Amino acid sequence: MFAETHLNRLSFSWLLIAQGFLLLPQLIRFPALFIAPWLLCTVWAFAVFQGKIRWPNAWVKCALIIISMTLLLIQGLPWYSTEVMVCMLLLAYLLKLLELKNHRDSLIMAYLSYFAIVGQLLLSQSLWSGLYLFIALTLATTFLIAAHMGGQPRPFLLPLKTAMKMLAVSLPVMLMAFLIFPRLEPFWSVPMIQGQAKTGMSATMAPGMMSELAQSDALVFRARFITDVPAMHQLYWRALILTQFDGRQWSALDERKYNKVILDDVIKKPNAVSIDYQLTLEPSYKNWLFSLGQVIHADQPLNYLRDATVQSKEAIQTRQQLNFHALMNAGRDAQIYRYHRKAALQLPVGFNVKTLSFAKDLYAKSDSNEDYIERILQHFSLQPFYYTLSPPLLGRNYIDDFLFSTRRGFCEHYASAFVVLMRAVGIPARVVTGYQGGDINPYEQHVTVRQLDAHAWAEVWLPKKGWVHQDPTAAVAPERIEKGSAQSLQKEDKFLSRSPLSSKHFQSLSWLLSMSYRYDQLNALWHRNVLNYSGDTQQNVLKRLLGEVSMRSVLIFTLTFFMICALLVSAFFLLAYRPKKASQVTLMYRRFLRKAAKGGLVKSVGEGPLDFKQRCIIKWPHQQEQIVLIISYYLQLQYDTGLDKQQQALLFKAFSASIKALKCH
Amino acid sequence: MSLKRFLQKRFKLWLNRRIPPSSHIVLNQRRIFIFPSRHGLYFLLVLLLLLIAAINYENNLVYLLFFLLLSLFNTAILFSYQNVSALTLAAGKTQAAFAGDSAEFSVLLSSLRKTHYQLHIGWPENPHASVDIAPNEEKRVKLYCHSQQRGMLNPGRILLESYYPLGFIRCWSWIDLDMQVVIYPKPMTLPHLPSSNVEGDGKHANHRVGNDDFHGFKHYEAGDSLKKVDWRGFAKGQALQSKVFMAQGDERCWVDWYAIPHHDVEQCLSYLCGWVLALERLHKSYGLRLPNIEIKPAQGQVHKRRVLSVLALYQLPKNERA
Repeated sequence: MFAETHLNRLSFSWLLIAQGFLLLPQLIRFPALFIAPWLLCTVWAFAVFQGKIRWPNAWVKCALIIISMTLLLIQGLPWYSTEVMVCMLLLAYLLKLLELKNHRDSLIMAYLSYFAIVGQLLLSQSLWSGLYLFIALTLATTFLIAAHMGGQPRPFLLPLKTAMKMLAVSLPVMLMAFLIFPRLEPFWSVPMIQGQAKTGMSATMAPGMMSELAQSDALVFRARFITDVPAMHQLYWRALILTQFDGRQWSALDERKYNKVILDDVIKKPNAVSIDYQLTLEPSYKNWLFSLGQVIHADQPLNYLRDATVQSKEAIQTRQQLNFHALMNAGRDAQIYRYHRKAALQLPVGFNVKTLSFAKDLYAKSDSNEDYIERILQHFSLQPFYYTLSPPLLGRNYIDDFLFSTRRGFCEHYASAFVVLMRAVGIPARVVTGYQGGDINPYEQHVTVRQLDAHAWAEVWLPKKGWVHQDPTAAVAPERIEKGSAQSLQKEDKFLSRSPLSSKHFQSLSWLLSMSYRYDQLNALWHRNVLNYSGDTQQNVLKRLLGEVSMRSVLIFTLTFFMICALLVSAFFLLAYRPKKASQVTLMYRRFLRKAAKGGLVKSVGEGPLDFKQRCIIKWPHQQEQIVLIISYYLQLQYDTGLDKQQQALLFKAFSASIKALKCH
Repeated sequence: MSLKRFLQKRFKLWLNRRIPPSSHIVLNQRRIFIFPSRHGLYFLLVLLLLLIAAINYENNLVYLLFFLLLSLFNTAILFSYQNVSALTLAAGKTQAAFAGDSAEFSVLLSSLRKTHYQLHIGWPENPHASVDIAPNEEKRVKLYCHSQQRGMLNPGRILLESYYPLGFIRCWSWIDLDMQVVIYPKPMTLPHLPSSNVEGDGKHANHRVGNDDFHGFKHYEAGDSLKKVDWRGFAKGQALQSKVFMAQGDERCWVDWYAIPHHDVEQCLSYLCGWVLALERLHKSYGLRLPNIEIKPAQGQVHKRRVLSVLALYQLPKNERA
C-alpha cells in the first residue's frame, strides 16, 4: 500500500500534526500565502500515502516553487526582511512534504522543522511564542522518533511519550549550557527590517500624532528601579526635545553629540535625588532612548546631548537592556548659549497672530516670568479647556483655533500652545516628547510603559533656574498625570481602539487588575532572565551562584554538574537493568548441570531439560530413575504455578536431595 | 591495501580479546559501541548553523533551542544505549547447506524487562533482519549466510546495530556466537547411478538390517540412533530398547570415489554428493568409499548427513574454514 514511500503510517500522522501546529500562527497571519500550498501539499502527500497517486515529478515541483514564490512576492512584504526569509523557509518546509521518498527525506524534514522553529523565534520572542514553539519542537521530535520505529503497528502516543521523556532528560543540560555558555559578539551584522511599520514615537510632532499613539497598548520599555520607584507624577520619560517650529510641526535641532555627559552647568538643588534603574527596550528602530532625569552614567557607550537627552549609537533593532544612573530634579544650564536661546525663541512669521497678541496682553499684566507662566496655566485650568483623544480638526493657525475656538485638545495641543505663548513674550521654551507614567507593578520594583503613555510637555528657560519643566496638560487634566492615561482616558471611544482585548479596558475589576500585574511580572521575568540574559547579566547570575566568577570556579561548577549527571545516569542503568537474581531452583539445576558436565555431558545451548534428560539416561542408564526424578521435580518447580508454599518447600527438598544423590561416572 | 588488511586484522584480534566468541552473550557497556551516524554528523552541522544564527541575531531563544537540541543529541546517546543494552543473544540451531547456497543460522534474542526497538541484525554483506523484542520475550531470528565452498563455514561476527530513537546515533556490536555449519559439496549429477552389487551369501540377503520395516526390539547399545529408541516403552518404565528394522531386498550401492573417472578432488566430491542425494531419493541403501575412508551402507537422513559431512570435510585440515 505504501508504494512510494518508506515512511510509516505513525510517522506520517505525526508529521502532519507537527507541521500543522508549527505553521498555524503563520497560516492565520498570512492566509493568502500559506493556506493553499499547505492544503495542496497535505492532500497530495496523503493521497500518495493511500497509494492513489504518485509523487509529483520535477516539472510540477518547479511550478509549485514558482507559484509559491509569486504568492510571497505579491504579499507586499519588504524584500530582504527577516519576515520574507522566514516565509520562504516555511514554504520550503511545506513543499518538502511532496518529497518523502526515503529515510533521508524524513531526516531533512526534521531538520527543516527545527529551522522553521528558529525562523519563528526570530519573528517573535514573547513568553507565549516560546512555549508554543517548545510544543512544536516536541512534536517535530515525535515525528523523528516515529520515523525510526519501523513499520510495525504501535500505540499512537508512544513516540510522543518517548519524545517528552527525551526532552525532559535534556532540559537540565540545556539550562546549564545556557547559564554558562559565553555570549559572543555577532560575526557580522544582520539586517533586521521588520515587515510592518510599527507605531511609535516619531522624530517630529504635529497635532494628532500623540493621540494616534494612545490607541495602542504595545510595549515600549520596562524599567526596573534599583532605588525607590519615584511617584507617578514624577515619571516623565524624556525622549526628544523639539525646538524648531514651522507653524504646524515641531522638530529637533541638529545638535552635537558627546560621548559623555557634559555637566559643566548643573544647578544644585536641595531636592535632587540620584536614582538607578534598568531599562529593557523593545526594538524601536530609532536611536533615541527614554530617560528619567539627567543620565550621569550608563553601562554602555551612548550619545549625550546638551538638552539632557541620551541616544543610542545605533538604532535599537533588538530588545536591549541598559543600566542608568541618573539625577532627578537637577536644574540645567544656568547660562544659555546664544544659539540655543535664538532657537528656543524662534516663531514662524505670520502664524497665530491672535495668540501672540493675547500673550503680550497677559504678559503686560504679569509681575514676572514666573507670574506669567502661572497665569497661563490658570488660564488653561479655569477656562473651559478639555483634554480629549479626539479633538476637532484645526486649520492653518492651529494654535489660534485651539486656544480661542475649539479648546479641545490632547497633550500635544497644550504643549505647543504653551511653548508658543512663552516664545511670544521672549521666554525661551521648547517641547519635550516622551512617555509619562506607566504601570507601576506592586509586586516588583518595575514600571511598564506602553504606547498609550505617550505624552508631550514643555520646558522653559528662566534665569538662574535654567530649564524648568512645565506640563500644561497637568493644569487641564491633573488625573492624567496622577493616575496615568488609562484612568483618565478610559471613557473615550478612541482609547485603545487598536487593542480591543487589552486588559486596560477592565481596570475597574480589581482581581483582573491583580492578575494582569502578575502576568506582567511573569513577562518581565521572562524578558529580564531569558531574553536579555547576556554579558553582564550572566556575570551577575554566576557571581550570585558561585561567589566569584573565574575560569576555575566556572569550570569546577560545570564539571560538578556533569559528574552528578553522569552518576545519576549510571545509577539508572545499573539499577534498572541489572540481571534478575537466579532463583534457588535455577541455582540447584545449575549444580546438576555442573555435575553432569564433570561426568562428560554438557548441555548444549537451546537444549531443553527433556532433551538433556534423554541424553543423560543414554549416558548413565543405571542412574535412569534418579535423572527422571530430577527433571520432573525441576519442571514442576519451575513451571507448575498451582503449588502452594509448603508443597514447593517439600518438592525443593526432594529435588536437592536427588541431585546430591546423583552419581555421574 | 595491505595497510587496510593489517588494520582489519588488528581490529579482529582486538575484538576477539574484547568480545570473545561465546554461544551466549549479554550486551553491556563492554560490548556496545556508540558513535554518531552520518545523519548525526549532518545534524551537528545543522546545530552549528543554529549557533551562528543565535550569535548573530543575539537571540537568546535561539540559543536555548540550540542548547536543547545539543542536549537532545546527547540524550539520544543514552536512549540508544538503553535500547540495545541488556539484550541477550544466544546461538540457536544451524542448518547445513550445499556450497553456493545460503546456510541458515538461528539466533535467539531475549530481553529482560524492556522493549528493544528496531534492532538490525546480520552479517555486513548479507541482508539484515530488523526486529523488535518485547519485555521478557525470546525471539528466534533466522539469518542466512551465503556459502562458497565446502567445509566448515564460520560466518564471522554478526553485526547488531540500531539507530533508534532519532537516527543520529548508531549503536552497534560485533558478536561472535561461535556458530559454524557444515557446507556440503555442491551436488553435480552424472547421467548414471552407481550399480548395485550383491555381496555375501544369499541367506542373509533378505534379512539385512535396514530402515524399512519394523522387525522387533533389542537392548540399547551406545551408538544406536536415538530415533530408534523405544521411548514410549521407556516412559512406561521398561528398560531402554532400540527398535530393529529390516531392509527389504538388497540394493546396496557404493558411492565410490574410484567409480568417478575425474581426478579433480572437488569435482569428484560434487559427483559423489549428487549420487548420495539421488540414492537417498530412491530410498536405496548406500555406502561411501573414499581413499582411506569407508562408511558401511545404510539409509536415512542421519546416514545421509553423516556421508555428506565426510564428503564436506574430506582432505580439509581440521580448522580450515570456508
